Parts: sequence; structure tokens; C-alpha cells
Amino acid sequence: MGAGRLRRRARSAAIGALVLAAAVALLTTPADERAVAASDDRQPSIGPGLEWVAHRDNPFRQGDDPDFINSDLAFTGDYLVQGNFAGFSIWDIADPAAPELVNAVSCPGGQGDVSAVGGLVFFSVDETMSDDSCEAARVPETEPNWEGLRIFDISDPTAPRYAAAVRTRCGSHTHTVVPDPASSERVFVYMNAYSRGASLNCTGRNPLQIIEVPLAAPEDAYVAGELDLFDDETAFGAEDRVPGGAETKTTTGCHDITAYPAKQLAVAACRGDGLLLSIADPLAPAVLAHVRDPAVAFWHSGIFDNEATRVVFQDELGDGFINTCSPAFGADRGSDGAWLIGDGGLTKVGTFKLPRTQSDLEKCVAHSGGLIPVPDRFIISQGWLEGGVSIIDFTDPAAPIELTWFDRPDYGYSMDFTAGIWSVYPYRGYLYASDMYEGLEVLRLTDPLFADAARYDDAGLNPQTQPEYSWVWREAPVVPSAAAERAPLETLAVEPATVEPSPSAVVTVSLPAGSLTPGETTDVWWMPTQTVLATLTASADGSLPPTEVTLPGALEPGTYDLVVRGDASAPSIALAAVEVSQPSPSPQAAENGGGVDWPWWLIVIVLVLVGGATAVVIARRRVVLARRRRRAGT
Amino acid sequence: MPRGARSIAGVALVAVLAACTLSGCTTGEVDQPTASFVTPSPPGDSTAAASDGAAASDSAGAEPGATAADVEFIAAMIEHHLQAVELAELAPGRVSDPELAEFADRIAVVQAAEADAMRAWLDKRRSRDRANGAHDHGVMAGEISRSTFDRAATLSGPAFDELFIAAMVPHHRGALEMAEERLAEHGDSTVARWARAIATSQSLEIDRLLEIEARLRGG
Repeated sequence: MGAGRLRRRARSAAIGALVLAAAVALLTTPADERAVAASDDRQPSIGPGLEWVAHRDNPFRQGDDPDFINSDLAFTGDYLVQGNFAGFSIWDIADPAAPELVNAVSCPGGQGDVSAVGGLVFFSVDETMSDDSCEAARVPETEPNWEGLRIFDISDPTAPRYAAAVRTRCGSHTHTVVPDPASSERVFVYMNAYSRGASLNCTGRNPLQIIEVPLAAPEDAYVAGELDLFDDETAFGAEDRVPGGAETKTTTGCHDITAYPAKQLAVAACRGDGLLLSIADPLAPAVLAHVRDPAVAFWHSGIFDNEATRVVFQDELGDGFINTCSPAFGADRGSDGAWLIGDGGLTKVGTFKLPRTQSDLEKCVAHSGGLIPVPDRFIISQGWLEGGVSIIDFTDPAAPIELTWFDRPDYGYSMDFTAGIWSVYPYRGYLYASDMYEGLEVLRLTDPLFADAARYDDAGLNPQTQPEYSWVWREAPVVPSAAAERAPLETLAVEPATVEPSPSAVVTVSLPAGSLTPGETTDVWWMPTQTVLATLTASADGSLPPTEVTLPGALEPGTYDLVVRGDASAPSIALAAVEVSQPSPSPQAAENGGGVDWPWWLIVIVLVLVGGATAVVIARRRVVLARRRRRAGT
Repeated sequence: MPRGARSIAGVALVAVLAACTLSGCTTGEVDQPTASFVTPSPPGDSTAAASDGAAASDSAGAEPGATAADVEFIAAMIEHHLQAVELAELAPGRVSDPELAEFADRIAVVQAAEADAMRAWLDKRRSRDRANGAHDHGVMAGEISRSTFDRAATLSGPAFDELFIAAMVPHHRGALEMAEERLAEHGDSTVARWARAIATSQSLEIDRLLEIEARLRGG
């Protein structure tokens, strides 16, 4: 076959594939989706290795009215809670590609920062409202008002219940859930807020108020403690106020706190100050380090790496209502700062600024984000308002780089207040981004670098309460050798339990109900080579349905361990010993007719031996006879 | 042969990517949520009377839109910001302290951008409602006088630094006064949030300017 003809064939095959793929695509694309894709002129720019999986409109949106914008996100099981200045949305994300709005809970009061603990939702109110009800109106801060934390019970997400309202003196700009190390029945909520001055209830230094929430009785939530993180700072004086009462002191409270309970640490972003806290006693956080930086205008939030050796702080220069992502602002202003956590406190080592210049009709500055659990790396997802989503690698904190992005163009005009991506976090292998006006975006990182991050099946996530990630599936299980320790683990059923020596063998493994965490990702490990034979999903009843796996060979006689381990139930394992039999005769082999074969071989051997012996005897006799003849002849 | 096989694979990959583009891998799945709005009743010890559920838009309708106080505040704050920009723009070539130089540069870009954002807000309202047009503001709180600008233009080195701080601190304190005045009024919540943001950021800057001043005096 000539080369030219081959190429023509290849080309026509490829064109065929293209046409087929396009036809399939058109057939499988819903009509409304094509219409939106065609009519929406604000299609985002999407970087490499990022898939746009789903979009859902903001159900609260009222045109360009900023009283209905989305804010932060929290996750509990299959549900995503999306805060809004007018309430919150509950999304069912069991299928990440098709989020379903379960409910939009109308309860105005910005900025609606949310957390979710089991069936409870905590909602921050930092606007002075006429009262704590869901029909409250915004009132001037100099009039009688309410601000604080609302607690909802969404155990039945189709029927949310307003369970409690806890007032705090300066409300709650953001809040942070800190588990009680002594009891899983209650959590603490750090109320992050700052005063500004002439308001009725909120003046002077605002202490950190800590709410205790009994999870089974949220209506009993109360302010359990308060402390001033800035004791060492000069107190407010008359000279720190202007006529009218507004304060000119900046150290008045914190904007946001990120806790890392497993490390007993937290970072606090307190407007003009950055703090590293010990939260060993969650009711008495202690300042370990206090930094200021002339380059940082507004300490907004922080993200730890998994080892708690590094932290990235965001500088929300301009409070989100201007575009700092332009050459006029340069590469350092309104940026991320990377700091090392050491014995000497915090040391700044690098900065990162969104590399894509944004239009001055947009709002763009460093905003909220979270850690993507990639082993041995420090990679975060972060929102930049109308600068979009950025995935940033801080593994070398002195030289951070952007890996990919999702960025819509401007609206054609400047939005009031602020707009764009509030925050973006990884959850169960997908990224969820909260866009203030547009709604919810679901994204997926496709690079193999994110395979381990994608495998995480979180039970829930409040991004400001960082979990410690461990990648249990990357390390082979450790199997005890003592019989007494092995016996209780030997729950894994293997059929057949004994196999013949062979190049490989197929066996069926299974576990009864209740053995595994329902739905968890589960590996079948072959311990002789410490390799994963199959990655399966546990059933809803915690069983492992019968599954065939191929044991790699060559299988020499002996006893070998087969282990099943689930990601969530690790380090516990289920064990089975697989027997590879000796190649000696067995009753089974005899029944199969093998018994007829061996005498035949024996007969052959006997015949050969007898024949050989006969030949030797005959040969010797000839030699002997010949000698005799020679002697007789002489 | 291998070459042909590679090109088939290559074009097939392109075909798959094209399919992805068309089927929504890059355009995302779009779906209008069928919003089910609920307004939960307040908890037992609520300070508010229980109610029987209003839609989100109802509570919005109860809140006022832009008021005269909003328009007045925004128009005055734009002018106020432009004064800060004007003084800060005098700094290059005159300022001597490096931290103050960086600080002045930041004030110039930030307040110019904020003034633009506020002007966009104002232009939208003015085109909507001409009655809420320009107001006469008289003297602004913390206003920098023309003679101060003139003097600043003639100074350099530590003398400029001293004048810069001496003029900018009262100027920023004036912005706080203006913000608090607006925050005592009803009005557009965007304007209230901006007023808080401006008060917050300018109080930070006052703090830093006073720190620099203390350092310069101490040195």
C-alpha cells in the first residue's frame, strides 16, 4: 500500500470521526443550552486542564441589585450551601454535573457568610437590620438594630427551620467553626467583625466573641467567651475619633479567621494586621505571631498548606470595589502574600498577582479560596472577583505560578458595589465557585496531577476550618503477621480460596453488609507485589459486591495476602489468605483423568530404562565374546 | 504506517475535543433553577413578630433606593478622593521616605479607581433621574486648600514628607466624618457598604501615616 493512499485513508477516517463526534455532540446537547451558549456574549476564558461542568443561575438575583448577590460556600454531605446577601441557597450536588436547587431561603442581611455542620447552617449578618427575623429591613447603624449569627436547621433541606439567632456587638462579617476537641456534640463559632465607629452598638476595639452551639440543641447557642486579640496595642483615645464619633484606629477586630484544628493553629486576617494563633484551647486563642507589612493594605483571609508550614494571605486592597488587576496597580498591590511559619513567627517569601489584566469596568482583587489536596504540593483555588477563578501553585512560595483559570469578561459597564467570583473551593473532586450575580459554577481539574485530590470524598467542608488531608490510598496497607491479630481481620471472602500454580488466576472477592463505609472508594491490594488490583465503590449497605480480580503471577505455591481497604474506613482492613497449592497430585486431579497419564509416562521411562539396560547388556556381551574369540585365535 | 496511525489518533483527539466543546464540556451546562423560596419563621425568642412568609422581592421593595443623601455623599466623596489623588501625584520626585513614597503611589491609584467606580454609580443615577443632579457641597470635611497644594509643589525631601502627612491625615479624617454622616441615614445599601469600606481603608491609612510620622520624627 502506497504512502499517499495510506494518508488519504487516515484523513478520511479522521474526518469521519470528526463529523461523527460533532453529530453526536449536537444530538446530545439540550436545545436550551445551545441557545444560551449562542446568546451569552459573556463567555468565559478557560485555561488549560479545566473543564466547565455546570452553571446554575443565582435564584435570588434581581437585575443588578447588590442586595441579592451570592457570597461564600459551605458543604455538608451531598448539599452545598451558598450564602447570599438576601438569604441562602441549598443545592443538591450528589451529581456534581447537575446541581439541583432544593431551596432558596429568604432571610436578608449581608454578607451571608455560611458554614454547615451536619444539618445546621450558620449565617453571618454584618449589616444593621431592623430585627433578627427573615423580614428585617436594613437600617442605619445609628438606629436600634440587630446583627449577629443566624442558625438554621436544614436536616430536612426541603423544610429549613430558623432555629436560633445570637446577637453579637459588631455582628459577624465572617465566622469560623472550631470543633470542641473535648466533645463532638458542640462546636465553637468565632465571630469575626470589626468596629468602625459611630454605630450604636459597635464602637472601639471589638473583641473576638465566641459562640458555643450545642449541635443537638442549637436554640441554646450563646456567647460563651470573648477576648481581645490586641491587648498589647494602645487603647483608643479621644484623638482616635473624628467629630461624629468615627474611629481612626485600625486595630478594631478581624475580617476573617482560618482555623486548622488538627494543628491547633489559626491565622487571623485583621484588616491592618496578620496574626498566627494557637487554638489549643478554642475558647482562649493565643497570639503566637503578629505581623504588619507596608505592602499589605487590607488583611482579608488566609489559607494554610497541609503541613502548616506555609500560609497565603489575601490583600483585599480597595475592599472589592475597584480593579487592582491592571498595570497601574502593578504586581504586588491587592495580591496574595506567601509566608513561612517558623519558630520566629511569620516570614514573607513571595507574592502572587493575577497575571491577566482586567478591564477597569471590572472589580478585581485577591479574595477567598481554599487548599486543593495535592500530595507534596501547595496548590490553592482562589476567587478574584471579576478576575475570575485562579488555580495557583505555591509549592515554591518564592515563585508562585498560575496553573489555570476561569475568567468572564466585563459586563460592559461598572457594577455597583462589587461583582464576580466571591470564592472557589474543591469538594469531592470538583471545584465550586460562587459568582455574586451569575450564580454557581462547577469546574473540574483534568490534569493527572489532581487525581489524588479528585479522589477525596469529603463528608463535609467549611473551607475556613481546614481539614488535615492524608492520602491513605497511596500507601500499601500494613498486614499483621501474628495469627491472633490477623484472625479478626480475615473477613474477606475469596472464591476460590485455593488456586493452582499458574501464570495468573482470577478470583472473586466480596464483603458482607456493614463491612465498609457506604459508598466509599475501596482498593483491592495484592500484598506480594503491593499493587492495587481494582478500585471499587462500596455499596450503600457497606458491602462489597462480588467482584472478579486477576491475581498477577507467576503464582508459585504458598500463602499470600489479599487486602480490601476503603478510603474512609482506613486504616481498618479486610484480609484473606489465598492459597496457591503444591504441584503434587490431588484427588481432584485424579478425578479429572490425570491418573491415566502418569503410568503412561512411567511405562515410557521403564521401557527406556529397560531398553537402555538391554542395549548395554548386549553391547557388553559382544565385547566379551569378541575378546574370547581373540584369545581363542592366539 | 506508524506515521499514519499517529495522524489518525491526533485528528481523532481533535474530534473528541470538538465534541466536548459542542456538548458543553467548555460551555457548561445551563439550567434555570426552579426556585422554591421559603422565609422561615423566626426562632422562639425572636425580637420580631412572626410572619407568614413573604417573597424575597417584597422585603427588597420595602428598602429605599438611592436617596438624596446617597447622591450627595457620592458626589462629595468623588471630589474628596480627587484631592487625595492630586496631592499624592505630587509625591514622585519630591517625597523622600521610601515607605511614604510607596504609600502615596498607592493612594493615587486606589482613590482614582474608587472615584471612577463612584462616578459610574452617579452617572447611572443621574441619567435615570435628572432631579438628583449635582449639588453644591460647600466646604468638604478635611478639604485640602489650594495654598497647601501650591506649597507642596514647591517642597521636596523631608519638608514635603511632613506637609504630605500633615495634609493627608486631616483629609482622611474628613472622609471618615463624611462616611459616618451618610451611615446615619437611610439609603442605597451599595452606598452604605462603600461608606463603610472607605471609612475602613482610610482609618487604616491614617494609622499608617501616623506611624510613618512617628518614625520620621524619631529618626
